[in-house]
Amino acid sequence: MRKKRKKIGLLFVLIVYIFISPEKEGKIFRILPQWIIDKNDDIAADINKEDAYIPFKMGNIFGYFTEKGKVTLRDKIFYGVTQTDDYFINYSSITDQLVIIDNNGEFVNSVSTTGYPYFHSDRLFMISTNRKKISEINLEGDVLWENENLSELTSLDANGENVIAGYVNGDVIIVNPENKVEKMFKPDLSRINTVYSTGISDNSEYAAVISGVEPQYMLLFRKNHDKYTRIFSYQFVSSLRHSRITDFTHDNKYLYFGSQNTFYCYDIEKRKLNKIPVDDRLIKVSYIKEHDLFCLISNDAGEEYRVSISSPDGRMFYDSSFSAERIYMKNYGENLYIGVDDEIYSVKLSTE
Amino acid sequence: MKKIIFYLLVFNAVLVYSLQWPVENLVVASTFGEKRGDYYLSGIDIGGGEQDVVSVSEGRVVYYHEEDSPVSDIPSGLGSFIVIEHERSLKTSYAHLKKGSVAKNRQNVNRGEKIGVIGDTGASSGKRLHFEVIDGELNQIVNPLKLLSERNDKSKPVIKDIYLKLGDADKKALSGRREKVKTGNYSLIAQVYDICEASDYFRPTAPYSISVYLNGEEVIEVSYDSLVIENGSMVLSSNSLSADEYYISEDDWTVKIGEINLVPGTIRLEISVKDFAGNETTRYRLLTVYR
Repeated sequence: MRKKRKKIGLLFVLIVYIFISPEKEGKIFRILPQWIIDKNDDIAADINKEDAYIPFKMGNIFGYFTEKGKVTLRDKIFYGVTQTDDYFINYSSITDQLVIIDNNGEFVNSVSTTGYPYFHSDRLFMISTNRKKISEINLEGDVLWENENLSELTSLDANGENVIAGYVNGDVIIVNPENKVEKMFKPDLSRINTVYSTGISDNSEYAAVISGVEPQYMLLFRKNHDKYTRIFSYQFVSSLRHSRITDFTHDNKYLYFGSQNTFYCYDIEKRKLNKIPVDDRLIKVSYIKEHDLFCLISNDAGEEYRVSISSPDGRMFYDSSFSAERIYMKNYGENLYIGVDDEIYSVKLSTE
Repeated sequence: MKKIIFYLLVFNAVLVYSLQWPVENLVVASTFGEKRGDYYLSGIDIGGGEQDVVSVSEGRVVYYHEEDSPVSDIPSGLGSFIVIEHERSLKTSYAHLKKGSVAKNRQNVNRGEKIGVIGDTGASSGKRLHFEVIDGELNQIVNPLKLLSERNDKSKPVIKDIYLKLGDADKKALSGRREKVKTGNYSLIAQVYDICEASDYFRPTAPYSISVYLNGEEVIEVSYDSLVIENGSMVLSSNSLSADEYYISEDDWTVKIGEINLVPGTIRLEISVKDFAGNETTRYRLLTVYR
């Protein structure tokens, strides 16, 4: 069975290599296969500590691999795992102690808790098991701030300075660099104002919120004298009732978000919204800044996945569907890592 | 005339708030206001094995989450859950549902319509439903037992040890019926709990209310009616205490009931604890208070 899967995987990379070389801005665009690793590969002995360690999670296994395709750490997930490039916490469903481990497998600290850990933007949050209380702690376990809400947390995003979180009752909070929690606003364009998604740009200039049911809106805000004021709104054709991807590219150029069968990319400077068709649910997005391209993975709620590479204005450079039980995606610079079941493929995007 | 209007209003409120139980085989394993880690249990936990979960009233699905959802990586101790909004901005949520059982394609649901199956997703030690009610108009989480039909419960709550604590001094146990204490403003601490009648083994749960009387006059009433947010923390609305402030010890159900001022003389201190069905237990101490 494993051999068969591997063949499917290899086939996938070959298809990528052979058929994808369309022109982008007058240059030939290529996707070059680099290497394939199996998540069950032996831990490499000859690891260069200078190499970047890339976290992965596939099925019930998580770990790290290097840019050169060597697995450096691998373990079974107890109930959940949260990772950064440097640290991870592997936790069980009922826990009162969390152990922070570094990417070499070395003990960092042990923290008493009653919630689940969540690394996001290299910050460590604790989400209470009832999803009503968020706190941020440092690696020493000191609580930096905490906030409780009447209803369940639906979304959270953070950059190095601010945190934005949304709740079922429509509350949106922003935590500022002084760790002060402020209620941002309660979206009131719909009678039911549940927040489904929140995002904040890396420079904190923009914040985005998806809220409401029938109608449901994407709302984009710009910071103006410490207050966020709305600069753009988009009404969805249909209302989804679950959390979904909303984020900004690291260069603060685009706001992107998903809805049913569509990936939306809003060019903030040009004030233009582009729609790119995807399968039912958008589940992974990587933005490759070097080529101004999005790599998207969507699925049909079953085992059919679709990988697309598209420019922000919707020109499709690659689009293919395949079957898999699980999928993974991460990008570092021009390198894109795509995991399909047990294997991780490294491909390099280049123009010539 | 005023009386008629009052009864009409009450009757109307009862109609609005009359909710159906979300499951058929009813085993209430944990009750509103128990301590969970550093926060209050903001609903009730219902056991009774794997069974269908139904909407307690007509409403609209406003949110659902499925465990291991690929579209959200926020960890969910509630596992798979669904939130339904009813009339008057009343929201009910149903958590720890069996993976894959959430009625995710429903937009509107009828009273009694299936919305999932009891499961053990999230931070659950067994198959159970966590059921919760939020009143969006009053901005509070309501004890669901207030809105559900009565259930059979004959077990009386328990009051075990009673203590007085003055400032930072060690707490003094009031073991005998008659005790001598120095005058002062004391924290009244007691070990109180209700008994889960449906359980095969000893299982304490939270009571519904605690009243304290000094010489027959009620001086403290703590009720497990609702939870509100004050200064970013969830507190019992009856005493404005967070779970960490109210519970002295989560393990043995010792709570800080409140502050009492004891002046010189003989004082009858009476503590009365009720469960939701109205079963009541009372304990008293005769205190000789000296200067």
